[in-house]
Amino acid sequence: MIINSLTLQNLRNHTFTEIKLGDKLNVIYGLNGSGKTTILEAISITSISKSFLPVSDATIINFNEQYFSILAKGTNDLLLPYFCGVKYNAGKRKIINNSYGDSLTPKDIIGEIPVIILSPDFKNITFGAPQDRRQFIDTILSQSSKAYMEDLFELKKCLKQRNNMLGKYQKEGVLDKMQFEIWTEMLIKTAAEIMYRRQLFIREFIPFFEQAYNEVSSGIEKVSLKYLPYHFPELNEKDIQNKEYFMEINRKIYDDLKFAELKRGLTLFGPQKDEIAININNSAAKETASQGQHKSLLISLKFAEFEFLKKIRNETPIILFDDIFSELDSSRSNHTLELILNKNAQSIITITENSYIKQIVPQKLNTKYFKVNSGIVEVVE
Amino acid sequence: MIYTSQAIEKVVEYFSSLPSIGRKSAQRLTYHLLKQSPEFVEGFAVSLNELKQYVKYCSKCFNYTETDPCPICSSQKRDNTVICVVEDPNDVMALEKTNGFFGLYHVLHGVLNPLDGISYEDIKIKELIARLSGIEEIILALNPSIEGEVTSQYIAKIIKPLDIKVTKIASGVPVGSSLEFSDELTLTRALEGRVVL
Repeated sequence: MIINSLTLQNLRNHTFTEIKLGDKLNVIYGLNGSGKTTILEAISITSISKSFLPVSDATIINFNEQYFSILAKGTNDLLLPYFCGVKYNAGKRKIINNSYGDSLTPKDIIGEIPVIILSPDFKNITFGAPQDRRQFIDTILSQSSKAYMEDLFELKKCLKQRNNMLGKYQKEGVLDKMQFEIWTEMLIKTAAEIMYRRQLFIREFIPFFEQAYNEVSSGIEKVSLKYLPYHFPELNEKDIQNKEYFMEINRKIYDDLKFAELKRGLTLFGPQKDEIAININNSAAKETASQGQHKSLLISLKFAEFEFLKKIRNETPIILFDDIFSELDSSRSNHTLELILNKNAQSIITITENSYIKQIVPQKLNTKYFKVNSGIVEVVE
Repeated sequence: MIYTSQAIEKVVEYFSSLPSIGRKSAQRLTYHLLKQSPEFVEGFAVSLNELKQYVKYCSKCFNYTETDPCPICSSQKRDNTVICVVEDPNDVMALEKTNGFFGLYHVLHGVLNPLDGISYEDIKIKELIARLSGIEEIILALNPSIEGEVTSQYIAKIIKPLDIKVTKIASGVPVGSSLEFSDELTLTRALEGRVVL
């Protein structure tokens, strides 16, 4: 997919901006707070229906206005035209249209414009809590399977209901035992479904990750991913072939934790406690990796996501890198940029300093430069 | 907003408290009523009064009725060995329209939902168990939400030991639509519920 033109209205400090993007590398530069990231956010909204930053839709409307609207026009890998428009009026439902229909829901457009987003905020994938890693794989999996998305939704509901019953028992000492058992059975079934898919996904994803890490760091270290469901014994080849195995183990774990759950008034098992370990030379990256290795890991995860999405969706994703070069030293930046160019995809990167990128990108590569100043974008020749 | 009459405001309040009616629709309805003849409004008010006065629960199936037991429960033509369990009186109407079910009904008036504080005592499960003598089959026709599913299993767990057949309606591809327009979850369910030919 390539976005040819992007129009944004009343998004943060952009009152009206129209950009014609290039097919290859696009560099957006300007001072802090000038509105560079907003352009990436706009693409994110037309792709995954929301900003990649943890903000609500209402807060990104220009503060003098009541609404924002975005229109992205592009061409997909089959050279067919595609457009997606999103309009949001404060307090109302988002109005989403694309080439295939009007007044769509976010679910309908997710994945139509596949994007790979990297921003300094995403450091937590390798650094932070297991939740950040779960979110990372859930985002990819949801784009590849709607059934998985529904299962996640069901899990959330199950947990809420079950926790409510447990909480009530803790406070008031009452529990409808029979109903509780049925909710438990429901949770075990949904949990098995999600865990089964997660481990399948991770096994599929590992080769992509290994290769990407090799490219990013010229491969001295060996990296791997490991799926560690909470309280499970070591997974081996034979067991993970069927969902029944996951149901069986979950049932056993529930038996062990039954009383602890009643005492704490909380569900203590399930995929909401899964960990996905990132290992480097067979030890946990979270604890042993250096700052530089963390950065390489993060970039490789994103490049692996690129290749994976490209394969399953049969459409080249767009690369959006927000201000990551400020975090990398010059040789790493050089190398990352080279890798981006090798992907032969449309990429849009933001940077505070222009002169630096001009050094490393030869002019003949059709790179397009945009200078942003207080929400006004101009093309720089 | 300032209304020029308290009477108007009151009616608007009442209308907008109804399901799927917002303030704007409530206003439109109220002004529409104002334009009608006094006889019409009188008739409307009387019929509303009668609704609460005459309509009550059937003591057997807990559907709404004016006569107790309701026409379905007292009918000689119905098969009184089969009970179809539904969530809501609306569902009885939907099933009756099919003209394909001739058993009796039982309306639960809700499903188990711990979050909303709806438990075993709040819905008509006890009443269902009380009328099981002489019944050969219970058909569970609850909505395919998680709560509906849990309620179905709950009832099945109670009734199965009594040696009564418990069945659940199938879920899958709607008639008149085609496979390609069905979502993944519906298709998965349809595959699970496939039948041998």
